[in-house]
Amino acid sequence: MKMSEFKHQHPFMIILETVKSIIYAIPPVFFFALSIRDELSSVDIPFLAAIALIATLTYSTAKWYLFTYQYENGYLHIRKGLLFKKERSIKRERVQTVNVITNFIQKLLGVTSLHVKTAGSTEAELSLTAVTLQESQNIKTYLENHATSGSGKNNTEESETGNSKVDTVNTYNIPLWNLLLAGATSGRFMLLFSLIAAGLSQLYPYIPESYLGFVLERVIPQNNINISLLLILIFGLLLLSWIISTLVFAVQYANFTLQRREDDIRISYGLIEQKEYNLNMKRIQALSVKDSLLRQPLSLCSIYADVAGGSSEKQDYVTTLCPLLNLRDLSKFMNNMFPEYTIPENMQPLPLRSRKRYIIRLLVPSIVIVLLLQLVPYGWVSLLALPPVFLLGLSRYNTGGTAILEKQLTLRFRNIHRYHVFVLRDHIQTMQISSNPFQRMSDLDTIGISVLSSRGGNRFALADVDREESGKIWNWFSRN
Amino acid sequence: MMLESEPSERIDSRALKSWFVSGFLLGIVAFSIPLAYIFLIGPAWDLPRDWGWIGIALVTVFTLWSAIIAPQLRIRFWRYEIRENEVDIQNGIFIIRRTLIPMVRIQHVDTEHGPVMRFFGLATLRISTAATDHYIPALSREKAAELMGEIAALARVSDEDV
Repeated sequence: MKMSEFKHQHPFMIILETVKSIIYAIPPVFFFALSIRDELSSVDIPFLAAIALIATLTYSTAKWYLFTYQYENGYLHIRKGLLFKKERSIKRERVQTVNVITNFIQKLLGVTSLHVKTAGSTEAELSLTAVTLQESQNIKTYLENHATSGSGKNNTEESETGNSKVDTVNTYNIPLWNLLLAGATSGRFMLLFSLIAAGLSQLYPYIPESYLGFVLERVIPQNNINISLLLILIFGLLLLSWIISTLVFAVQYANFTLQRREDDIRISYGLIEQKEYNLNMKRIQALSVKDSLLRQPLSLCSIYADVAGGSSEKQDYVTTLCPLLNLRDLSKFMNNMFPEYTIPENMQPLPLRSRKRYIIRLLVPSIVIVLLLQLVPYGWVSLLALPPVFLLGLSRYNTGGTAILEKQLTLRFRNIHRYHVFVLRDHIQTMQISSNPFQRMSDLDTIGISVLSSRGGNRFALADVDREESGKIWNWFSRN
Repeated sequence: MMLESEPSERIDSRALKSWFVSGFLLGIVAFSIPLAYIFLIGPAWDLPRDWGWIGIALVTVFTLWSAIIAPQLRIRFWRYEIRENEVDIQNGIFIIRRTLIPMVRIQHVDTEHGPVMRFFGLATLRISTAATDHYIPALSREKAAELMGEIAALARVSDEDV
């Protein structure tokens, strides 16, 4: 049995691992130092730091030396570990995605990391943290080219060979302006704002009292606590977090490129951390167009997909296919990138008799909560929430709609944001029509479909559909 | 009911007995909580006895519901039909659900039965797709085995890619 040598990763892995360990160590060390700051003067800090650095370097070097990999005979194979030896091999037929992610330091060093995922795994099954760009492309090509049994396919762009198949490449780039707009309307600033507020409250005890008093005196003149100043402070903080989150979003999704070649989709984006994902069209189970509350007035939307067997981002269940798109470009975008899906020209709205059900369903629980809140001081403020709740219910009713095309079901609904969900009949796992006694009295049904997605299954449902329409959808799905 | 035609098959009428027994057993277990309160915990900590009686009343209602009323309502709407290309299930007590599972989506079928069901010669048929799980409870054991074979055969014929 002749095998090629196991390879080490690029030696820069030592640097990367060291930096990673140091970054992970900073918060605990910082808080430890804070807790013993009085005795800190009696410690030889440079000496300790040097020892820690040497230890980390040694550890990282050992890690680099012991980690070896090879790809051969249809397998990607790794070995690692000093005491606990670990070997793992993945058959390339089982590989679903190969993600190439380059963060800032890796970019400086000219290396990149490679994450290999198989069906059903949410975390990467196998990761290489420092390989050269060339090597990462080699591995990627090696792992991905099993399906096409020939050699005719090449994943890089220069392969414009006269293949018999339609070898067109459709590319979509997001202009910078759109990215800024997307960031500005992403709604992330609320999250950031709460993070900043939480961070400040954590740091509060460590700010010297005299300094705090000085600032307070400047901001709030003696004995004259001014509410408006406080409001301005909060507003300023909101504005700041809004600007920061916009910039972060724009940097995160910079150079967003979506590329489609036959059935392969390639998504790449990022300025500081570069990410690149490939996925096969077969794995897309449902396509949703989301008009978020902040974007809908600007007629902007974003596009997501439910992907079978692991999404691209670690924590998200859906894959972003396009972070921002103008609604008027939507049909062109769909035609170019996803001709499998059609935007229906008109949709069947919900019947008038379901309007009151939509409003009651939201309003009644809210009224109960509001009534309970009357028991606490300032509880009457909650009354202000009722008109928006009423409008949300009304808007949900107005949004609800269905459309069936030959092979595709479209559902339109709103939770907070408005969604159009496109599902091909072959991707619907099961369909369920349900009704409670009140719905039965007025001939209404809730219609739900389940599709495969990275978290197992995902269900889309629309309540209070006219029984005639739900029957039509049922018959459309039924194969007998 | 919901659509023009309901699924054709009903589940085995022995289901009522089986559900009665398991509901009754569950009730007995539940009774031990208020009884323990009245005779052990209450006296030991000197707590009011009335709560124990309220507990017994609640458990009685619960037992009546789970052993007698719910099974009656449940069996009224339980229907299923296995056709060449799909499995059609209807169930529910207040909310009635009708589920359509295409044969090509079925990944595996199992039968299972607990001690009570085994005593009555019943079994549950469980049908799994990649995304969802469905079951037909309380079929006679021969019927369950037969359907399992039937579905497995039909599901294998039309094996599409997910």
